[in-house]
Amino acid sequence: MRKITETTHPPFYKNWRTLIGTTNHAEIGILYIVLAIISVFIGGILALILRTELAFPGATIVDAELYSIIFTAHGTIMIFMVIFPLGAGFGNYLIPKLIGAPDMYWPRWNNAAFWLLIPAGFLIFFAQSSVGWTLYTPLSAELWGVGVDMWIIGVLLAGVSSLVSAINFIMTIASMRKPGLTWGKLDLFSWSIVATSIIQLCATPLITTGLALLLSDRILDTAFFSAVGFGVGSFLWQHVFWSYSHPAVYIMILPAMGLTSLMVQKFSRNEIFGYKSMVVSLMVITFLGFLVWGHHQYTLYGAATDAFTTTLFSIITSLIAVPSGIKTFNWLLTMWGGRIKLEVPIVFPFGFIIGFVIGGLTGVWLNIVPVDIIVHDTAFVVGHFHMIILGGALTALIGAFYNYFPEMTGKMYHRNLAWVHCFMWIIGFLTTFNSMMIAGMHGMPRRYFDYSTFSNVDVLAFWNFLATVGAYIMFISGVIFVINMIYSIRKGPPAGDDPFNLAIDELPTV
Amino acid sequence: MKINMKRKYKISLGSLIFGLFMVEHVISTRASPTDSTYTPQIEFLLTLVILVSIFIASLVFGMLIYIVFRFREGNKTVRKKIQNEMRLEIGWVIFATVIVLSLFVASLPATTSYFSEREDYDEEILVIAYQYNFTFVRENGSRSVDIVHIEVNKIYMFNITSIDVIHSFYAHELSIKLDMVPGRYNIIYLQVPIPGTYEVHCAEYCGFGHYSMEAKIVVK
Repeated sequence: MRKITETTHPPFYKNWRTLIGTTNHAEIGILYIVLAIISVFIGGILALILRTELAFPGATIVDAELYSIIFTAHGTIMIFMVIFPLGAGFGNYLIPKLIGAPDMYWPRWNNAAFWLLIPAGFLIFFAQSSVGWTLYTPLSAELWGVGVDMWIIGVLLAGVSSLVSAINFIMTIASMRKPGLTWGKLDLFSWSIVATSIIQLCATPLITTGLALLLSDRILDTAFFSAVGFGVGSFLWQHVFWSYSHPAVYIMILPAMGLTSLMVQKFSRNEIFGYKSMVVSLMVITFLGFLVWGHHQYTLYGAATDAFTTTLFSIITSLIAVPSGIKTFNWLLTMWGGRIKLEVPIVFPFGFIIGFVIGGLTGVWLNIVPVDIIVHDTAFVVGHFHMIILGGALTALIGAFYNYFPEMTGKMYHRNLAWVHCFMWIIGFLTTFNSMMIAGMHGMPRRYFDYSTFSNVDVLAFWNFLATVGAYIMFISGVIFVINMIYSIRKGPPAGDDPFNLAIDELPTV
Repeated sequence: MKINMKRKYKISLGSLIFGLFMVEHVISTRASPTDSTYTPQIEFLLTLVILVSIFIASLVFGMLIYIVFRFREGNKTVRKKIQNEMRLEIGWVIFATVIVLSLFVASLPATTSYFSEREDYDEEILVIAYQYNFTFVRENGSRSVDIVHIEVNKIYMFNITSIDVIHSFYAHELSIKLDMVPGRYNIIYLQVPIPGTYEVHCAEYCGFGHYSMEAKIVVK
């Protein structure tokens, strides 16, 4: 297997021409991953500011305006600069190797897709937009200042980048598989990237159109989303926004599912259980993901207006729990009868399963319309979403990073530090997001910077404080991770061909 | 490390830990009483969905712990592949579909009652939201800002709207939440059997003062 240190002499990141101009899929994949690691710390520090503010009732370290700016930046950076790039990064790094292709279909476009993200990230970070990542109109159409405009242009650039890489992935997997590798033999990570790319290809134009029209509302005084008659503008925006943003959560979670399949297979030294049902459930999730956006709007309609729409979206959303459950049980049974080597890259996927199950079950709660009415727009929803995306997707992606680190750098990471990171991370996210969900069930609305006027302020303060403690545990574990990586790249022992002593002969060593 | 427990104890231990974790959710939820006529139905559904979640979470986490302990490298055990793959898969599909669909069906009566129109209300109250207050307009024309007095057991129709951006009318203890959309009149019926003072907060982000937007419903 080709090591990244062997690809170019000197390494590509030592010279700015090769750094910017590289078209090698593995190098671009690593660039994506490095971008995500830098961004996760920026977004993480923003999250810590939010959590520190909420740890005690009353204004403590920021004011309401800065708080709004920070939660908008935190959400957008974490989605567009961390989770999406990690999926694209592992896709770039692995897909050509997995399917036996020399590189991606359009290497230069691949490079362009990565570098488009850099201006997008700067625009989003410096925009100081304060309307939340959901940009609900008419607030976002009317708020004065260039911040929201900058934010919209930043997200448009990120959208172009994700479209380009989606087309590239689909073309690569469709036309560059090695002879004999039929669709039925394709590994589950490639399948998950196919599904992700289909979602990106079909859903990104919706948000691109929506954002362009919103920008025109702001700059040219059109009235697509700012029309107030009967609330049509607001309704239209929410439908356009969620018909992209609900499929987008599957863009975030599907690559993590694919990587989990690979790692569970690798470390339990067993064939994947129920390959066909895994692929079918992946495609069912992809398809149903487009039909469920209305479950974000259960509280939008009042009595006697739209019970039909609500029940329709509720029943479709119920069904999406089925393929998710099948995937979970298949991962568990993949390990049945195997020889499980307990290493860090397999314990992170266990964390993924824990986060995915808790997040998924609370997702079922949110889909029960009357229950949703009391917990909608509270910290419960925020806790649920983070449980899926951080506790689920990001945890699996970190595990994948540990898995491929020896191959990327040729060095082995420090095992004990990695174990510390692993357990602190899992304990941290369980503490934080369970506490947030409980606070939400006690009536803590989301995007509140101060809850000192609530009658149950002592209960809210307790759970919020606990959530803050968990957030600090996660952040410290992240610092340990970076120290481990920097130390290991410089001084780590060389990783051999089989860094985890798995001694696999017949199974794919990906 | 050698674990001498019998297998079934391992399963029950794993289930117990995560079961306790979820029971904590239940207790914390039940600790916050909600007092409108929607409350009994919503409380029932919440209990139901929590129990189902505890069951499924215990199943999955119990399986995870059991499988990892049993099939970890170096443990002496029978490592046999599972037969009848297809039958298991079909079983899960049916199991999961039945559970989610029965939860959906169980939620239908409450959904319908929440969204259905009523003719028998005693008074209509117009609620107008703006950054960052609620104004209540009564049938007799009197107005009040951030406070409204209503009577026990009478049925009120809250006709809610906004004049600037989207807000949301959220009274946690009364189990109601409805968005206040500019240009649109959303309707919610409220009947409170227990006297007291209930808080209303804005639940949809509406600007920097979002956190400070609150009102009181005083029930006598």
